[in-house]
Formats: sequence, C-alpha cells, structure tokens
Amino acid sequence: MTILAVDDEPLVLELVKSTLKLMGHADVTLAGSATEVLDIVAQGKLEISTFLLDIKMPGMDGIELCRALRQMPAHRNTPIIMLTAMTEKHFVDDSFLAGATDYVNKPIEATELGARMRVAQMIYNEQRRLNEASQVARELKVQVEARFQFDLEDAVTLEDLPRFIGVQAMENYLYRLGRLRQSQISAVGFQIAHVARLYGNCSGADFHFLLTDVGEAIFEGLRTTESIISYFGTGTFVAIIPRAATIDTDEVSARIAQVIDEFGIATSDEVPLDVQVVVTEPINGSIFATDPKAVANLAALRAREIGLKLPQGRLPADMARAG
Amino acid sequence: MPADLSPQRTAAEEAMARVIAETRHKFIDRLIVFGMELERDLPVIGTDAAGLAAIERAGRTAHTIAGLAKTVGFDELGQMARVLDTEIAHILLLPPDRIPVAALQDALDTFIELLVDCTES
Repeated sequence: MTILAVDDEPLVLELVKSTLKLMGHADVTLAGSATEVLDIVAQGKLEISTFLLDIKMPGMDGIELCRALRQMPAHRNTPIIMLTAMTEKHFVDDSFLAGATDYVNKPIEATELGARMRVAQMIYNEQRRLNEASQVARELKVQVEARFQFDLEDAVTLEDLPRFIGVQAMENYLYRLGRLRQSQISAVGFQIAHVARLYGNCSGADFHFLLTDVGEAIFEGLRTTESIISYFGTGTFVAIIPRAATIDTDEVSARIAQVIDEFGIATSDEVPLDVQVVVTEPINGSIFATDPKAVANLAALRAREIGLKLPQGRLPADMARAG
Repeated sequence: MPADLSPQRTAAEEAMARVIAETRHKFIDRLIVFGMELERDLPVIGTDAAGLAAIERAGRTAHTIAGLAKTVGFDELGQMARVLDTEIAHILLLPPDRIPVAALQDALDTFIELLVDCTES
C-alpha cells in the first residue's frame, strides 16, 4: 500500500515524504504532475491507499485530477487529501465537490498532516474491509444462485418443511397405501396465483425461498389434519389428507393468506412479492382404484387449471377457494 | 548543578527538526534562484503578453514560497508570499488596462528584498 503524493514543487514532495516517513508511512510514491499520477494509476502496479494532491499545478490542477480519479471505479472511495496554500473558500469547496475527502493547509504542519493521514488511513481500511465483505457477499450470492437454478416446471424438493416429501416419495406412498386405505384419503391441490409472473420477477434463490414460505403456510393451513404434502412444480402443491378429516377450504385458505402476510415475502432486494394461493376442494381417493397416484395428479391439475383462469391483480377473497 | 528546565524533545520531534533543517537549506538555495528570476522579470511586468506572462510567473513563485516558507521558519516571507499569491491571482482576472503595474512592481521589489534577507540568514 502506498501513499501517492503529487506537487509540482520537488521540495514540498521531499518534505511530505520525510514527514510521512517519520510518522510510520514508509511507502510514499511521488509525482511531479497530474499526468504523472494518471500514468502511475493507469499502470495499476501500485495499491494506492491515499492520494495527496496539490491544488495549484501547471497543466491539469489538483481539482481536475481529483475529479478524474473519482471517475475510476478503483478510486471511487480512495481517500484524497488536497494540499493547498489557497486560503480562498472556493478552492476548498471545489475540492470537496470534485470528491476530495479532506484537505491540508500549506505550509505543511507535521501534526496536522499526521492527523489527516490517520483519518484517511482509517477510511481506507474501513473501505477495504467493506469491499472485501461485499466481495464475499457477491461470491456467496453467485453460489446460492447456482444452487437454486431451476425451471418453473421443476418439482424441486423443499427441505426442512414439516410433513413435506418429494413427488416421487408421494407416489410411492400412494402405491403402498393399498386399495382400502386409498379410499380413505383425499387430495387437496394448492396453486400459487400468477406463478409465472412471480417466477419471472425473482432470482432462482428468491423463488425457492418463496416456495418454502408458501409450503410452510400450507402446512400451517392444514395443521389440524394429518397431512402429507408435496410440491409438484409450477407453483402447485398437493396435500394428502385423511378422507375423514373435514377441512373447511375457506378457513384453510384464510389461514394460508394470513401466514403469507405475516411472512411478508420479498425478494433479496427487499421488493415485496404479492403471493396468493388458491385451494381446491378435496378429491376423494377412492375414485382412482387402479391408479393410486392419479388422485394427487388430479388435485395438481385442478389447482393448475384454476391458477390459469385467475384474473390479473389481487384475488377477491372468494376466489382464493375454488372447487 | 542547576536542573535542566528546557523542554525535552522526543526522538520523533528531533527527527522532524532535522528534516526541517535540511529542507530549510535546500529552500534557501531555491530562494536564490527565485530571487534572480523575479529580478529578471520585474522590469518586464506589464500589460502586454510578455508582461502578463511575467506576472503569472511571479504568482507561481509566490505560491511556491507561500507553501513552504513558514514550515522552514521564514514566517514573514511566507506571509508576504501568501498575500502576493492571492493578489496576483486577482490581478490576473482584471482587464489589462486596469492592472496596477507600478504597485505590483513595488510589492515585488519589497518581496525580493525580504527574500534576499532570508537567503543571508
């Protein structure tokens, strides 16, 4: 890390370098003009922690140089201290407007320069820490996004949700029930309204979290029954419940909406998502004696059909429940 | 033996004092050159192109001296250089026919005298 100081007067540069060295800043690079600074920066060989810029220099002055540095992404936040013998306010104002962090009056006083440099280094270190943290966050986001890349139609597995199993596991479960027990179950379909639009407005990770929240809301809506729930893709969920269990789809629907409201579902950029779920009436399992999994598929199909017919915008309360 | 009551300087202060003393020597050498340049420009100062260029050079010299003189112990020279720096900056904004050539030459003459005094210190 180096401090890059520019002044057209070599004696000032020498004094600055010696003073900074005495204060423990051994790595100081000197430049005699703005052009020289821009060359050094363009080479990109030095990691510059602070710029010290003289204001009044022949050719490009310190204020113009400050402005040019601020336009470079690498130095948008690097501390820039202006060195100035100028007492007039507009030089100071112009410096700050051009992006300077601070200024030191000439003639240079070692204690003043030292104090300003300490502050500049603190800013630089903090900036570096933040940059590193945001880099880590960016990398994590990429990893998360990569993990949650899937199509709308994919029946992704939702983990850590109570009473949730995969689609394949649900099929196996239905096959193993046997004809008698099959007649004792019902299937209920749930469809996220306007799911394609939600999918289009979300990242993969955001949509996955949305599905998880909706899944949890469905579990809460069915909490009083012994349900087994699965996600069928395209925003469709199917729950297998005991036929004897009487569920009031109005109540289930209202409870799901309430839980979703409490969650306040939003994207990772804090954009709120309007998530609504429609619920089908239960379908009796006994009508599919030869194909046990058909009851679940029909529930899913019905839920999807309802979802496709929904008008745009927020659904009226009575439309959240559909038979 | 009486106790030494003079304030003790820290090692850092000693080192800083050495840096300043060294810079002061170099600055005096520069002052000699600055003085010669100002003396050469003094009669040229005026409202024509060469005269205005001479004013600009004088302004730059005053600015450089203002930035260093006080640090190396030339308070009065630094103060005068600062005044000249500011005044010349204003003068250069005036229309040529309103530039106070004689007054500026007088001020620079006094400045050169002070500058020479400093080089002899």
